[in-house]
Amino acid sequence: MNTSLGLRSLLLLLVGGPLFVLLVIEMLITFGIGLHVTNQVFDRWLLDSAYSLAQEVRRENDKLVLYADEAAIEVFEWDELDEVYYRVSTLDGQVLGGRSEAWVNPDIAALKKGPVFTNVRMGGEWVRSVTVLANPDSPRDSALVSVAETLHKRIPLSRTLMFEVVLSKATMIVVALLVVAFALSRGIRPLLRLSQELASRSPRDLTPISALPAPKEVRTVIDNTNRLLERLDGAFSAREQFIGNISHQLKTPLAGIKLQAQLALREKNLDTAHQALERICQTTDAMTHLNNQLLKLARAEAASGRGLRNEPVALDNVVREAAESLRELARSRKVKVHQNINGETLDTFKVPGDYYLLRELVWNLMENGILYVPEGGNVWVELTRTANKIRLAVKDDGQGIPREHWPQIFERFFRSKITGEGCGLGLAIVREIAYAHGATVELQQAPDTSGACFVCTFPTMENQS
Amino acid sequence: MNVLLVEDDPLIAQGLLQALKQSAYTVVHAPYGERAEGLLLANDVDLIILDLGLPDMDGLELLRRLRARQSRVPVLVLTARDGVEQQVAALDQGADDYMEKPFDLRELEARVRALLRRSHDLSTDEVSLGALQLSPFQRTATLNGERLELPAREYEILEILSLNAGRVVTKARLAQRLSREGDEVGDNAVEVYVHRLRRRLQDSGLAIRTQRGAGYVLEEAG
Repeated sequence: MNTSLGLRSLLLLLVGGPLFVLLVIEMLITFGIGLHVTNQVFDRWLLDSAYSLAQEVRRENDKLVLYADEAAIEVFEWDELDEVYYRVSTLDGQVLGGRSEAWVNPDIAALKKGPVFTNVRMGGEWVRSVTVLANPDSPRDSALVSVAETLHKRIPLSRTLMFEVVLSKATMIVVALLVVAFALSRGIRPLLRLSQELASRSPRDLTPISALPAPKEVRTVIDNTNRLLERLDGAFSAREQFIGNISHQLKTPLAGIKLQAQLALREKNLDTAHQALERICQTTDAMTHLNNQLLKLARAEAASGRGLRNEPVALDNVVREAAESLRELARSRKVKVHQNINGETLDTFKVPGDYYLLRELVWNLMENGILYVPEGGNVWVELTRTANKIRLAVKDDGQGIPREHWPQIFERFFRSKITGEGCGLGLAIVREIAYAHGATVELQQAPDTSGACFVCTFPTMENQS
Repeated sequence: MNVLLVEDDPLIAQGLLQALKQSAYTVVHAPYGERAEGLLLANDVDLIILDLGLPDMDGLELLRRLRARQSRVPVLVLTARDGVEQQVAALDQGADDYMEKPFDLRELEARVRALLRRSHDLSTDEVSLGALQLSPFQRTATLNGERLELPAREYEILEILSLNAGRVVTKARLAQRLSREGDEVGDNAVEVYVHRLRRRLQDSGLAIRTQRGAGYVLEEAG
């Protein structure tokens, strides 16, 4: 359940996070624009006042004067909420009307281009001030006109504006996030159902996941999971069958051991009892061999399942070593082992793989040949190389394997010969090792002998997939 | 009692041969199915111990063929296969008993005795007929409480006649029972052994009567 919650939070964060930031930015922009527009309205009014005052600046008797009567000034200064200040002065600082002290120190050059707005502190509070130039076209008649106003109307208005913008945008943000959260829950519901279905499964249940109504992407996950389950099911059944086989294979020697032990126990004659014990020892050796073969098979299987060490292995060396270690066996059976290795350079027969497993493969094939060829027979080991393949062939001049046994010859526990020491795992190990190396192994009809001919085909170092 | 052992594993075969011979059975061994078929044609057997996993055929196939020939010889199946299905299949194909490997030798021996008692319609391990007492599992016979020391072939004829007391046993069957591979016994030899047995049973109240053209019957004289 943790993962599904995590997915929901993740999606919420991925979608809701940027959405939230975007909406906050939009709120700030809206607020900024609103503030700007209201400010402009108030500024326009302030500017109009300044211009109307500037129009009253005239030259009279060679002196600049402000032509405004008391009533006009009163109308001009009257405001319900705000204090309005004005000051008219000549460029060299002579006051023509209004407040005597200046609250701004205007830059004449800037004023010639247009009105200058400033925020200044006056009498302990902030005021908005504008300064214009009266009669700008005639430098002799020019005068400075400043009008200032407290912010009593502006502040509440901007507060109202801010409140309304924040309220509406916050509502939008909350609604948007709710919609996103809802959509996400709906969207990942099939995933949650799938997760529950998988979580509630017993580990032995490998039946396909039932067809839930699900969007295409989830469908793909389900289909792929089902395919995996199918393969797992196959692998598990094969394994169970194999374990059954092992158990079956162990029962016969165990039965023999128990029988011989019971006979030895009831035997008064020590020599006869001794023989039974001898047989028990031989059987435990055979069981040890079976156990070792099973281990090798399991190792080869693990290698093909998990991939193996890919070191370059020179097959010609492996063949020589195997021939060396089988020399005694061959001598005791009067079997001649012929090596036919046509290598040009050191690297000709290098294949990528695991040295110990490859040695096992070659050794098994050669030992089989030596054991099953009649006494005095021949076993040939050939290594040849084509452009992208290395071919290992092990053949003998024995009676060969009956055709009807060919399809099963690599099966576990299959034994073609009724007699013999083998436990029926040697060729299964060979096949498993070949698979692990991306190689193939097959039984072929040798053109020149009637005996068995096993051919292993390996990819070269350059052609490994 | 004649037992046919069909088992390919040399260790088990050797052990069972030894154990069965110690128990006074006559045992023939077949390591694979074809050989068992051959031995069944040549021998008159009282019981078959049959392994299912034979190298050349399935033991169940051998069993099926045996029952198809109307043979009622008891079969004890011995197998490494497990599971109720396998047991049911074997019993349905005509097996009389079933044991899984590894088995206990004493249990196997007891089951063999039980199967033989049942097939010969015996309530105990002994056959009593008038003054004659015969223990097939010990391979001994007493007459009026005295041990009868019998050569092997005379014992076998007495055993088969006692187990079939009151019924006709053909000369051919007696001949087959005495025959071993490479040592065939003819009708004339059977007549000789029967003649000797008759002398031993004189004045015992028992008689081996000749049923002309059919065979012999062991019955109480009177």
